[in-house]
Amino acid sequence: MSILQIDQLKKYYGKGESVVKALDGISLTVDRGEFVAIVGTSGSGKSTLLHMMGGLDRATEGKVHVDGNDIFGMNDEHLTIFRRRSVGFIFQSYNLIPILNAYENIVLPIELDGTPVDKEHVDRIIGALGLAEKVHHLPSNLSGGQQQRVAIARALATKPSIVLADEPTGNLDSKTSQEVMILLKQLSEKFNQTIVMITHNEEIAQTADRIVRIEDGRIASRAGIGGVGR
Amino acid sequence: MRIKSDSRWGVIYAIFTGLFLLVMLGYIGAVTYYTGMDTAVGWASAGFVMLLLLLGGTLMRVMKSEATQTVTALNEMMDRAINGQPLQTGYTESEVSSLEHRFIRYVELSSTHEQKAEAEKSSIKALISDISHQTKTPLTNIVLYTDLLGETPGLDEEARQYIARIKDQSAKLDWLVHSLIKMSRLETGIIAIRAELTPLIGAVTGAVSQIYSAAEHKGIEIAIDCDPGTLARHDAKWTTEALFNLLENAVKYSGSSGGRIAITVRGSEMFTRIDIADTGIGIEEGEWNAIFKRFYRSPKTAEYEGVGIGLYLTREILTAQGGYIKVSSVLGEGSVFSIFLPAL
Repeated sequence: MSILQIDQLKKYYGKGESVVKALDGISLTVDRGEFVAIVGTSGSGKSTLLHMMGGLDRATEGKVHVDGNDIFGMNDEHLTIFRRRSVGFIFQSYNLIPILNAYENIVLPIELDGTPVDKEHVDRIIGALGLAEKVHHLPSNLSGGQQQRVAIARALATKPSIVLADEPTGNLDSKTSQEVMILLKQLSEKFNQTIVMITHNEEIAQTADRIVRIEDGRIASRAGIGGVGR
Repeated sequence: MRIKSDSRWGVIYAIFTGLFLLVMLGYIGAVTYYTGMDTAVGWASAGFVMLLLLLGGTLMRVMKSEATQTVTALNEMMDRAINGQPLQTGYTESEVSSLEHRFIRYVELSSTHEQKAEAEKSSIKALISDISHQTKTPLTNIVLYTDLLGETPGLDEEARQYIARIKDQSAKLDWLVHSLIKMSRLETGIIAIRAELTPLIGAVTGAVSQIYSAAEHKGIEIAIDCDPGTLARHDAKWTTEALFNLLENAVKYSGSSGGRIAITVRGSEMFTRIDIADTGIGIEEGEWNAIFKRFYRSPKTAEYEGVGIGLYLTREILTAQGGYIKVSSVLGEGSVFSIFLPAL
């Protein structure tokens, strides 16, 4: 069952002669519970694609459906609510609030939405990420890997339809990166959580169920490493 | 949304309060005018208006908090229904109650479908388990009687060779059946894994001792680099089994001209990592995911014996312990299998 459907997505910057085609007709379907890695060099358009999926930016042409909803058909207000409820973001730079402790950071999106916190669910995520003893620490007292784990917990706490990870291991050493990837993979399986991750690191991408390669705003042939279909 | 709706309420309040005040001022004016500018009547009307305003305001407040309560109750109700907890509203005539019942019906329906699918899946697994189990006794008998047959005096050379082949094949079948039983028991969760935070060194040495003679036979050197204090949350018996499977492969797919297997154990914050590096034939990149699938056999390994259970079983064992396995390899140079076990 597909949870994310992208049809002929195009994003052009500029006009006429100087037009830059960041995305040039991308179609992609992601199933529920799937862990997909989008791999490409910088400038390949992978970040733009991720921004489109999360409703952070609007496309020039094409459609993105998340959970059956056409996200470009929403007005800005609805799009904001959509992002808060249905998308969990994980960033390279963690983006934790420095004055809130780990637990407060994790439940912040739920509280912003005004819905009651599902304590049981949040505790399960915290346990799975090995953060039980760190919940009262401030981000500044946590290592990079721990901060990213808090950010992952935050992304999953709202039970989003889809989690979008933008170079989640970009600031981590290779050992910690490996750990974070394994945790993401395990969480994806445990909570049947759909995850789309972008990275330029082939080795990191290996952990995913499927690898999609992007070159010059287009999907390159999928026959490659680990790209053996599902 | 909340902020937005709050400001909308503000506008509605302002309009209605304004209208109310206007009407009341008009009323007071009219009453005092008709009673001939009697100030006492004017004050009485003003007092009356104030009272009305107070009552109206209180009513609004109560209604609003009532509405908030209903929404909160609905939210809680949904959570309860999703978690399979009993009814909150019971059987009352309220709209909320009927909504709760409908929602619960919906949750039940979808979970019934899920359960059905799950039941079918587990019945197939149980069937495999049963078949494997039922074949065990006849197989043991075949092995036994073959042995007896072999001891019969006066057999010619040809008969002996046949008997040897039957024995050989029975042993293989026996191994396969045992693996199948193990596999299906792991899948169905019959085997409880008791994971405890214990040193890994025992499992590593246990697995190496089982493979040592086979490795020596092929002239393969085994090097262990493991700090005796390195801990992992695991069930030593099963980790030994998983490691043995990997070592067996490492030996099997190493050339006959010897080689080297290096076992490295490294602790880290979340996971303890065990690398098993061999100098064997290697695995093509396109197959790195596939080799962990049940009954998968690489086309390149046709000349080697095996059925494609070992790695699958290994991954099952690790997943059951909250661990993970991955591989990287260079064709013709060797493979590195990395096992990750929880360190917390």
